[in-house]
Amino acid sequence: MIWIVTLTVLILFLLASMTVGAAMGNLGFVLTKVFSTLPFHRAMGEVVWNVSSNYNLFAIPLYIMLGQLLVKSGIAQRTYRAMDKWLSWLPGGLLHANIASSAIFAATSGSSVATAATMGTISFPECRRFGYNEGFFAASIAAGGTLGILIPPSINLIVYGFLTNTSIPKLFLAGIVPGVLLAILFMVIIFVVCVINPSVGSDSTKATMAERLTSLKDLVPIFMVFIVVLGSIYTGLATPTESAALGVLVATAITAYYKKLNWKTFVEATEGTVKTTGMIMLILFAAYFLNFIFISLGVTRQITEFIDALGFSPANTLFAIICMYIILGVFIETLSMMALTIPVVHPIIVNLGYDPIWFGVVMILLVEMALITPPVGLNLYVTQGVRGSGSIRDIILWIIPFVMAIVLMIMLLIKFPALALILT
Amino acid sequence: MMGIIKSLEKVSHWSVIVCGFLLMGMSLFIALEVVLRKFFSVSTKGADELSAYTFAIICAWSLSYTLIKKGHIRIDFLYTKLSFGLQRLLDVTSFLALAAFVSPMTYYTFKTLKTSIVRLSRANTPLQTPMWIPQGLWFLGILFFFIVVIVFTVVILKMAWQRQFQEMADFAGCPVLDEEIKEESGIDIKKIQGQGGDNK
Repeated sequence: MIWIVTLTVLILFLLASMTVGAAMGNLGFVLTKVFSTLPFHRAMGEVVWNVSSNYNLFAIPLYIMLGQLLVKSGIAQRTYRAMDKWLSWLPGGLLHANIASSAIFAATSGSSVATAATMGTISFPECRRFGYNEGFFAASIAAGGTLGILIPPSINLIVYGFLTNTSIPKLFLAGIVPGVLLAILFMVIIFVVCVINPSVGSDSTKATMAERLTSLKDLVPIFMVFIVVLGSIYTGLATPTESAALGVLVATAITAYYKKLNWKTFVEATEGTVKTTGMIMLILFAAYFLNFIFISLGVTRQITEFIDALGFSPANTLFAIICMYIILGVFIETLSMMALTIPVVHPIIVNLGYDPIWFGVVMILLVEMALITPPVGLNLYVTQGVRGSGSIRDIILWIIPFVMAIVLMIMLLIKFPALALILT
Repeated sequence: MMGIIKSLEKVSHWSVIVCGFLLMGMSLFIALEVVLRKFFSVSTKGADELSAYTFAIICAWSLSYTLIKKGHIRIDFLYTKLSFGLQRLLDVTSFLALAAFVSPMTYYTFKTLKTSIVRLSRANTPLQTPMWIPQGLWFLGILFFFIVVIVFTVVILKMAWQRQFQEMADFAGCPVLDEEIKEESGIDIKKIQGQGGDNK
């Protein structure tokens, strides 16, 4: 009964385009008023304080700041040029550079909008110069841009870890192998498509070995960020928050090295950071509050019992959950989707005997899929916006093989959970 | 009314700059802690705790800036399919709902602060921080967010009353993609489209 009310009210609030945080928070108030005589909502002050003084979550603004600084440093252009020199000999040419540089760049940047927009602006002039199929080219950027939330550091994984009380370092480590594999899968797809239908691909400037080796120096800074951020976590030297702080300092140094560090850069990077932090935190305050109300009123338990009573096998339940995410991803912005569903889905998954770290990675793959499936697939619109001409239909058509790759990756993970768990 | 909004934006802008310095300063402090721990096996015994307080202050003050920049997420799946008039109606209800959520949030966060002041609570850590200091700065951020929400709601209601629907759309509508890309990456789509449209 209570969860039917919950669902109805929530859908109504969201369809009315209420600010997502307010929708969740107000739902919490409504549920307490209707279904309880106890004033659970009075815990709100404590909830907001505990969430906003959560040491692990401090990594979020730091990683965003790190990404913002790197965008301003102009490192994306350098990475793209270097990747072009190394990969353009493959059938598909620049398309491989799109995937590889998005993967590298996105890994250090917190925003998939920023990644897709930045990579798009850099690469589209090249696309036109060499006469690539624009739809396929744009699709490769949209798909590549999603890799960043799987390859650590990932803000989505921090949010998952926070909402499920799962170890964030372990989640980061679990994301590495599937993230790299997915990037390779994307490149295999480009390779195959371009061998079957060479007209979609094209050439690029051929680089000599000497040019390639010189280009390596442009990759040094971004690999330094990688090593500091991931290395410090992997060796146990630093917590994710500490690694993020170290990363911010390295990114500041890189920005200074490229002579881009000035007052304007600092202000712009901070503005971007604060804006995204506020967006994430309002949702997390409300999600945590709503989750507290759910647990106090027994909603979470009821849903878990309901799923149990259905008597589905774990595999079938997992399949149903994955289908639910695919459908939700079509309508709802991804962070809101995570905050809304994880507190309820996580207990079900654990109850079925699945590993929460492993499911975190599956969840992120589903989010990546949501980012490139119409009608709400944000990355599609961003790349189309940067492309600036033609119809978005071209991109939607060519994104299909990339969506297939993500589906394949999810199936591989279900079949071989070790892919995620091997490094943890 | 617009004068008040201008001053709120100014306060918010300066709070963002302070947040930037807090982030950079805290990064340096954390780095110092990591180096000391690794190479000298000593700890500053406070980096974690101070990080948490810094974060709380940044969180609270970021909320208002995000609102001013239209950064708080609204699901626009149905919204974009509605008529101009219905969209304005949803803008009003959306702000009323935000006010309905933020008002009790401000009240209960004040209660939390008040409890810390009345009981003279101190953190259970080596620093023994009196809790009212970080919680006070944190609460001020939330209070400021509350003020911005209320002022914005009043402005929107006033605009609706005076039937200034275009102004309302600019002020409170869901952001369109061009704006969003520009905000996130500093790339101006309209400019690119002007250059690249017939470049095929």
